[in-house]
Amino acid sequence: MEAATSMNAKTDARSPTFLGDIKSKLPWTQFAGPVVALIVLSVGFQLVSGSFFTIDNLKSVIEAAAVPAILAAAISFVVIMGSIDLSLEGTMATTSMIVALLVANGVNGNDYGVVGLLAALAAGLAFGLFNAVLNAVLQMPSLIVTLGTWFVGLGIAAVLFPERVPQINDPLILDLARLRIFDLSLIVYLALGVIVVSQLVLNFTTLGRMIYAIGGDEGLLVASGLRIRWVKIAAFSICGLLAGMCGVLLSAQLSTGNANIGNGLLFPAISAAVLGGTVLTGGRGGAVQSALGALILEVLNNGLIQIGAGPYTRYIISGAVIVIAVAAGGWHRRRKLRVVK
Amino acid sequence: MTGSLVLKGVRKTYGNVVALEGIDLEIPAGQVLGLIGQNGSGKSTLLKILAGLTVPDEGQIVLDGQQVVLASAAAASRYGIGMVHQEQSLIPNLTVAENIFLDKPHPAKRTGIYRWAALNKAAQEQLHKISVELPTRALVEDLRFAERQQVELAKVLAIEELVDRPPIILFDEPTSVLTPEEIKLLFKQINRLRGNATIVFVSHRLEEVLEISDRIVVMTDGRKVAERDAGSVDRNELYELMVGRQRVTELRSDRQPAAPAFTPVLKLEKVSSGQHFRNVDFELRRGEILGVAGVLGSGAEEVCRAVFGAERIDAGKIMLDGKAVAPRNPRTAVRQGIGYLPADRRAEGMLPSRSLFENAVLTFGLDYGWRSLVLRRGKERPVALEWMKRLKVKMHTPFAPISSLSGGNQQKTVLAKWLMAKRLKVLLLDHPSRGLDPGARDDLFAVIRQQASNGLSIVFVGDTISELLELSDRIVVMRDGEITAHFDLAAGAMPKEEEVVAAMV
Amino acid sequence: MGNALDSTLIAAIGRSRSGMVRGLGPLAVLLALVAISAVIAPGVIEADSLVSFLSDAAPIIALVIGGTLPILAGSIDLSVAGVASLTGVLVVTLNPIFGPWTSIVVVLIAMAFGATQGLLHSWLQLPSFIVTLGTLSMLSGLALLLSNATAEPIPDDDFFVTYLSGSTAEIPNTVIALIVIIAVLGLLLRYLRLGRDIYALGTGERAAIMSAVNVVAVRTTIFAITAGCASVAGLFLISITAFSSPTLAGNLLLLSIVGVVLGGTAISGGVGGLFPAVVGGLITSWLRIMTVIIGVQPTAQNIVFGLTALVAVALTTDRSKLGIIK
Repeated sequence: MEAATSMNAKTDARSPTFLGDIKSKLPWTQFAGPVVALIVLSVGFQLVSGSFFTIDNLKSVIEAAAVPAILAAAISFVVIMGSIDLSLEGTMATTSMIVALLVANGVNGNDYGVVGLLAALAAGLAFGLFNAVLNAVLQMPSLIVTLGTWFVGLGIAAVLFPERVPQINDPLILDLARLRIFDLSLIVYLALGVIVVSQLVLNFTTLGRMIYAIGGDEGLLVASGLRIRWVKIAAFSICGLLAGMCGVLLSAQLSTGNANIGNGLLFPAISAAVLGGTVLTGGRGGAVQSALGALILEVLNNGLIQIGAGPYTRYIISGAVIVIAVAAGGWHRRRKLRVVK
Repeated sequence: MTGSLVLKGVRKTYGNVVALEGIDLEIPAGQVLGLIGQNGSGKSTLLKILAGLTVPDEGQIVLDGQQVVLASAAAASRYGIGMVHQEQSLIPNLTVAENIFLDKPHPAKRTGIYRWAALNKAAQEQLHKISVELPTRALVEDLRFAERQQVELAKVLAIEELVDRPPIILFDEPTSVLTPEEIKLLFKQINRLRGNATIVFVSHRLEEVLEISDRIVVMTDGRKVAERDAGSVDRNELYELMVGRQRVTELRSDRQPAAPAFTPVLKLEKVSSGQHFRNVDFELRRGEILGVAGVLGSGAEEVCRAVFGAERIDAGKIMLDGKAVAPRNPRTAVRQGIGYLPADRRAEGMLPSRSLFENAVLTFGLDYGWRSLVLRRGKERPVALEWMKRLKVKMHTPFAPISSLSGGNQQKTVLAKWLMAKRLKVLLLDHPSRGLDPGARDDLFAVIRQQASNGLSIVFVGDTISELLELSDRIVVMRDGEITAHFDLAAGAMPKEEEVVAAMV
Repeated sequence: MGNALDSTLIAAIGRSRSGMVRGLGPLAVLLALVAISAVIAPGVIEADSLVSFLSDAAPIIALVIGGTLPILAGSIDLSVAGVASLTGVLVVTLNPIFGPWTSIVVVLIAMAFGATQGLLHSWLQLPSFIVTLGTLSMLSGLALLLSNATAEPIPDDDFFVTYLSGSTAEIPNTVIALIVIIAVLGLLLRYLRLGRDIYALGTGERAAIMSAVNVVAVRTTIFAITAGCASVAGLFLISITAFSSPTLAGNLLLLSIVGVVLGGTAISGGVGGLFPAVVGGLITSWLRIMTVIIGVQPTAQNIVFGLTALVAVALTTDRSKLGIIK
């Protein structure tokens, strides 16, 4: 009981390390890891394939990384608290269908424009709220809650799907992908905006700091009587909202609504967060780091294509990468009596 | 408002264990009150109540003449009360500045947006109050323990700005892990606060409490037994008071421990483990009961856990029957014949929702099976049942979940699990009688004595001195991670309780 | 206690009482569902419908059994669906090498793989959900790679698969195989330390560690068995469809978890077992039939199952044991 916790305090105390000193003076050093990895990978691929560092290729890497980066930033809000959100794909599927069916499209006569867009975003928010309430109010583990929501989302999208693929005709949505500034689509700039704002929220607002605090030691917060339920609700809601936004953006890229639009994006989002330093146990990392992780994964993917690896091989390698990343990140946390679920 | 605190008839029970029995206490403003007592004296509970971490079952807390209810730590801080904890109570991955202002409002974060420059400056000011310079942007987990304690102190003092009365600061065993220089610094800070704040200082180190306090309160068995001026106190009187009613009233049963063999069963040579204990040397002979005395944090529990492989060992040798062993984890320890009855039975001793049988056969059931491969319930259950009978476990049916039993019977079942071993050499008992009523305790001790007579060697970390004197053949006393005294009872010389206490504090 | 009581107790060979009770609730639910369906569409409980139901249910039950074991011990295995679909692909791909014994070899490979997962999880102290989420990804990728994303007809010289496609005395061989597997697993769990240790880990892992339970060995074994069951489920599936399909196991992840939970096994661990797994598998399979009878679109099945799982978890999670819920 008390002995156990006092032991924890004693074993965790250590002298201020050199690294610790640096960390407090130069906060940007937390990005060092992912940036170094990025550089190493890029240079490596360039050396092997010779065609990595072309403007066109770099642009396509950034374009491909935009939505995964938003997803990684979104899931960071939840992961930093120590929870997880597996429902991203379901949310994206539903919002894709909602936006595709409400704005001007080739299947029905709707033309709700902005309202359709907002409805889709609201749906994303609703998914997030649902997750939040089940986890924070009904005290159900987030793993199971979001696993259930994942499939509910896929189901709703499947139910909404009409007899044929809804082609999106509304320029409001299509322009998100078509409009290009400096030859990069609007989606890229939106992604940048989201990442920056997310990082600002995480570093400069009470909401953000409390998210880190919950990830750091939720037990202490509860014991000292601070109210944290609202933080959890907000974090899950933000994640759902951003996932909803990604569903819309992906539909813009495809110019159709698709009930499977997000398939296969959950895992890269989690991997990106972990690669960027947002550990699954919580308390660390941030939106920018996770986005960098997404960029790393995209560079890896692109590089593997450049050197001739097939699509499924890449799938396999990404799976392996995440396991290695989590293992490497958690190695120093190994303890004799540690319980790992 | 002066910040004077009065407790009237405060009572707290945990289940059927009375932690505090009607405490009446007056803590005058601006003074340092030292609180001293053994394990189980109630001083930690009292402090927790003052800090708002738990609420009393009966009684009143009166602050400046007004009755208050301290429902949570946040509530307590609104009244100007804050605690510097023995254990970690800062959020490790947040900065110093954030932690100082985490549980209180501040203009620099009023609108929900953190203005870091202002917050850091404010944090610096709080630290300057105690003449400390720390990088406020540093993460708390990168600080040394002493520095973290300073942050906690600053966090508590920051309450000052919120209330217009002098803050009430509670110190819970603050010196356990500090170096002598750091302790001096802490005392300097407390001295500076004297007069401007009310301080309650809890420590098991009598010397320190005497040095820093204006008044001392001695607690024993959940009661306040004495109140003295620190200046005019007699140490021996204090030792006597702390022992209280825990005198050995019954004669020790005449037990002949087995004659010392040539090699001791268990021998520790200069064993150290991080912050927990250093240079521990002791021997355990076959059939002997070695009692270990020590307050929480003295290292007694950790020594047992280290021998069992549940705690890291940094230096030293452990020898079992003359051969060096290195128990890396509980499994290897058990294979070598070492068993351990944990202090925290709920988390480490038993599987609450499983049946009594399942709990009892968990570790050694397979030894009664076929070739250590296939379980034979028909063979293991009678043995388990036999042990439960000998330990006098009161149960409806052995198929009932263990959580349905009283604490004493749960403990007996957990002990049965270890006694089912066919080849146990050493059994380490960590506060085995905690939470047990006297009847259950006597049953337990009877079986322990019997097992020792049969050749089992036992290390027994006791809750009270009387227990240790009653059961042990030899006693080793630990304080702050080191062995401070050694008593050999079998040689006919029973130490006085006060002597043992003196070595503990 | 008197001697009479002693001897009665000692002579008792019954399982723990609470196990029986826990299994009866969901069983009652199953019977109620069948009864309701019989009212709506009486043909559904005729002999041949039931036989074909059992045939459909076999793979799901196998998956649920596989999914139950890790959850019992406090972990989770999200890769079961991936193992099932890769099995189908490997039976085709490896046929040239192993001929009639291919499917047996594939199951063994799956078990080795599962053991590796369990080892990584317990020895490296990695959360099981991320390890198995990673392997799910790898397995799906591998399945697509090896099959080139096309469904292949299964070879007809494969000993075991051919057996599974047939029936013996009107009972589909998949059901017979399933019964054999359940029996073997039941015996293993009851008579080896393994069963006891699984429940110990799920109920109180710290206490289990301090009672010298071999956590790494237990978890490695569990995940091996799980992968084995998932692989067998894959074999059942291809014996029904006669085609391997890399995306065969698409929705099966959700169904397997739903089945685990509906059978009464708690996500918090330590509660549940083989019997609840079978019942849960049956309920899930029957629900699939019911959605057809009632006229729910197949596309809406995910919604129904997702919500059902959430409700079941809400009701069965032992919150007091979990402490801080993340």
